[in-house]
Amino acid sequence: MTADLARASAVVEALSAAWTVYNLYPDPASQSAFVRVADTLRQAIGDRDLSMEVGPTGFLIDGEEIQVARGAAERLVKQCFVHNMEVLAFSGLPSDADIVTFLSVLSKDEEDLRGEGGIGAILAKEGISNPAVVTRSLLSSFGEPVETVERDVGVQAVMSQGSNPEEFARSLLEEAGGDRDLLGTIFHDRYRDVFSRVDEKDVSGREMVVTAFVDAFFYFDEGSQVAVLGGFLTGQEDQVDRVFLDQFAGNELAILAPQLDSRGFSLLLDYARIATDQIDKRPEELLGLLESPEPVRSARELVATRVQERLADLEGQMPQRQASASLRTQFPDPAKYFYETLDTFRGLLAVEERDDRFRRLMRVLTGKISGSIRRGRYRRAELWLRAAVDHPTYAAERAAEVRDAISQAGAPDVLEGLIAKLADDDQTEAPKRLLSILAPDHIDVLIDMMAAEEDRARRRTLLDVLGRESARDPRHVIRRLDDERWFVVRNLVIVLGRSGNTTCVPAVRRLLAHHDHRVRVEALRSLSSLDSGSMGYFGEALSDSNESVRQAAIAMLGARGTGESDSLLIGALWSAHLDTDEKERIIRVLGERPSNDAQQAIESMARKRFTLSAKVRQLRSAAREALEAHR
Amino acid sequence: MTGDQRARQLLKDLQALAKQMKLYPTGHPTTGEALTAATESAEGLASGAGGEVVMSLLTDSFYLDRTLLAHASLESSALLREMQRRGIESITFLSPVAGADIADLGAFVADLSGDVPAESTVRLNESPYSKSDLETDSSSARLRRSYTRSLDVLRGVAGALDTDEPIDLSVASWAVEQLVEQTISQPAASLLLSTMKSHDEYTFFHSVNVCILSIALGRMAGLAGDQLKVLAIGALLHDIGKIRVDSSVLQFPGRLDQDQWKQIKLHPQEGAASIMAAAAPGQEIAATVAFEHHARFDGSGYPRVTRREHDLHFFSRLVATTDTYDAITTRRSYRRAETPSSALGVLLKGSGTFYDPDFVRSFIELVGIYPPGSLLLLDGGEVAMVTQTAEAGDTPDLVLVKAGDGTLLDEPEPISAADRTILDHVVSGNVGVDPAALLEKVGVIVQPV
Ligand SMILES: [Fe+2]
Repeated sequence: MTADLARASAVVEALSAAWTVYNLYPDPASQSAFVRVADTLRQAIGDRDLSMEVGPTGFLIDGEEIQVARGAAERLVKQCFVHNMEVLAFSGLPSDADIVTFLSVLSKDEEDLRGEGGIGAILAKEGISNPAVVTRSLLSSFGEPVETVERDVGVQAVMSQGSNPEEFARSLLEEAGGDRDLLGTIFHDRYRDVFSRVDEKDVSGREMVVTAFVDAFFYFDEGSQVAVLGGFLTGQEDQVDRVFLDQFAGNELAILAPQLDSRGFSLLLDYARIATDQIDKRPEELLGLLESPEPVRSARELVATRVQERLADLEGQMPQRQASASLRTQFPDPAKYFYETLDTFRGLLAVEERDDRFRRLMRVLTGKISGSIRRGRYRRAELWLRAAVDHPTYAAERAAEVRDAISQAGAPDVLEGLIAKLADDDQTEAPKRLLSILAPDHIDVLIDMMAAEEDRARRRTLLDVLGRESARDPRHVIRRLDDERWFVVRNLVIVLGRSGNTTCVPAVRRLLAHHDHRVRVEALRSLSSLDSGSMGYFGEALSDSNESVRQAAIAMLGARGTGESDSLLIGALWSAHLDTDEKERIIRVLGERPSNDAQQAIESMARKRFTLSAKVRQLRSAAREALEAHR
Repeated sequence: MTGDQRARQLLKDLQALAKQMKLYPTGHPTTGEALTAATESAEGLASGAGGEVVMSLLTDSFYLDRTLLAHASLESSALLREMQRRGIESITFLSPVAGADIADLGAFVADLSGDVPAESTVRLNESPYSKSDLETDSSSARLRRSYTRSLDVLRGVAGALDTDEPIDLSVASWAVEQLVEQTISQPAASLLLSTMKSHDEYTFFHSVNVCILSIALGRMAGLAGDQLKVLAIGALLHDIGKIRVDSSVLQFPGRLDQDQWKQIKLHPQEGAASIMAAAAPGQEIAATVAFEHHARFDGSGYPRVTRREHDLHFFSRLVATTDTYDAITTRRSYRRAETPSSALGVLLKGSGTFYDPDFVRSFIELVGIYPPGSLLLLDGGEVAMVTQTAEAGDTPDLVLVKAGDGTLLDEPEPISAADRTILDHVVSGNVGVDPAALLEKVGVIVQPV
């Protein structure tokens, strides 16, 4: 590859990247990605001018195709080609704004651009000379920007009148004072005069002038049209008059044909004869009509063949393919409607640049997710959700808004539906995943739900869900621990216990002082699973005023089975707060323990001699049994 | 003007008058203008008919004496219902029509007064015609009804969108069901009716036309049942996003500037979002049609969608074809209408680039070289309308609608194309022919055998 080709390749690559970025973002110039590619582009251009030809499949330099890896380059060149660009050239370094404007013009519809005089004219109007373009049909705007064309005052007047053809037509009629022949003369002369005053290079100017007159023509009554047409038909050999006549479709002239006098009629025939030779496909049917020796058949055939010829062309392009047979193989599959709808939704998110409209799309999203869940279409709800978050098609700064919209879908009845479904069948995956997405923003609702839930299975599901959430972040649940209802607090403690999150320990420990013993019991259970550290504070629970708390403490300490828990239990054997049955349980627990301390405590209990009280005798025999079992 | 055109004008004027009266007190200058206009129209109508004329209201139609006002019944169906709600069965106009009497009529229609004085030049419910004199439950009446209902759906949707209320698509699906049924059972008549145009409600008429053409094309391609129905909903609603576009832009009488174009180009996404918000599962694909109907077969067009996972939807490609055809054959404020053959030419030219070549071919097969409803200029300067598509190489069925001297025929005459020279296609707006009225008149001829 020559150095020029390599440089051009880098330029095309960067411009394609800019084109991609431009198409992705509503306000590309503010994107850092855009600024980066613009910099790359300028680096690639460097300090020498670069001029590339536009081919149908790629850019070329001296007829040699510029090799570019990027797929976007193909789309870029195609777009340039569609706009009739022949050459794309850089001289000097374009600013970010230049690039954006260039791309915005490039992204327009070909038809629209043509309406405004072609891409060259629009770029000139926008003040963009770098990059510069040369188009195929229009005269060069390269090096000779259209803006430098001086437009005559009379030309400008007609151009501005052209924007209101009805008014223009009326003013011409008035000038003629209703005399049709005079109108024909005025119209013809005015047209020729103004046209001749437009600079030859000002192609779009000429087009505008012609259009202004042609549009006005259609606001005349038929009689006036015939009068005007006569002048042009007479002058048809002249290039300037021909331009006017060439604007008409054959049928438009044919409508007027019967009203022309015989001279006009034969002139029309002449025109049609010349036109068919020289102008592509315009009044050929007219010629056919007027010339045919067998008018009835050929006239009809002519209209028909014109269409059929094209049909035949088509047929040539797709041999042996019947349209309907081909369509049949492409029939839409109703099973895919849903996925195609999601794709459209993603498309909407991609193109919507207006804030209020984006918000409306977000409301749609919320509605679709919650609606699907309400109908029990969990998988669909999930797919809606994922259509919005996976590989986002919208600008990054919209992410929070999308996230918010999704969270809005977690209305209480929606969450309830999901919980009910899971309580019914905990193997169902989609509701589980949906809950895990919706739950974090709705912990309070879930807690309220749990507080009110009477069905055990659902309550268990809620405990699971909240437990999983608290594993990630227990703060919401902790904040609710001062609820006045003991059963709510107890359930929250269960949740925290299941979370396995050790940051909850201080909060749960405080509940050991809760006024309701059922909460205290649950707190002990949770702590025994959460807190692997010192359990010194269990000692207090061993002397709790409530029996079930004490029992729970014994069970938990026994299960812990550390030196510390052993010594707490041993100490409790002599505590006055425990009754004999509890102490007996402690002995049995200690009997299972291999530690010396535990064994010694039991042995000393077993060795007690003077046991006058029945209580002590009970404990002694328990200790002996424990020793027996151990052996 | 024909009686039919005068009656249309009068109904429009009456509607405007009633609206004015509801908004402003009597004596307001604009009310005066509306009253003058309505009085002049009524007088024109009555004197044109020899001094007395009866306008009857039956079921879903207006009649002028014994003649059904097909176009007016579609166009002014809202006024029709409003008048029926007020108990009006007929209105007799006696020339010279007095402005005060028209004012009384306006006030009565607007629900501002309980009665109109007897013995005036405008009399209510004194028609000499009985219901059986006028009404027939002909197949064309059924077709027209389904057309009206679809128009009403669009009017309703427009109203909702205007006030930012959610739209109700259940009525849309009900209306298209009937349109599907009618289009399948009377294909030629439907295609003929689909050439109806309205300047004031361009978008609505265009949408119903595209709906009919799409059903016919979908049916031809082999779609059936629910598929056709979903397609029809998409086709009917494809342009509803235009309701959000400023009407001054839509009716701008010249080439649009950049900002105006920008606004217009938003209508696919506007429509798609509204449909998506309202659609029940299964109907949502209609949003895809609205979103994609200006996207081109080759990936150009708008909106520019850069990350598609599938090609343009089958339905979108279909509707893009019928939409183009109807749009080109319709006169809009910034563009002259073109003949069906030039519309077919545009489709052919864009075939494979802008439009799906398979649909272009099928569409041409469907409507033929001379589509029903198209007008042909004959060698003697007469204008004839095609009532039935011709098989390839065959001549189409024609009725003569305009004589060589330019007068419109009251009763269109069937003529044989074989004896005549067809000079060219012409545009309906240029010859003052109303397809809906013709459909009534030539209804018998266009029935499938
Ligand atoms: Fe559209």
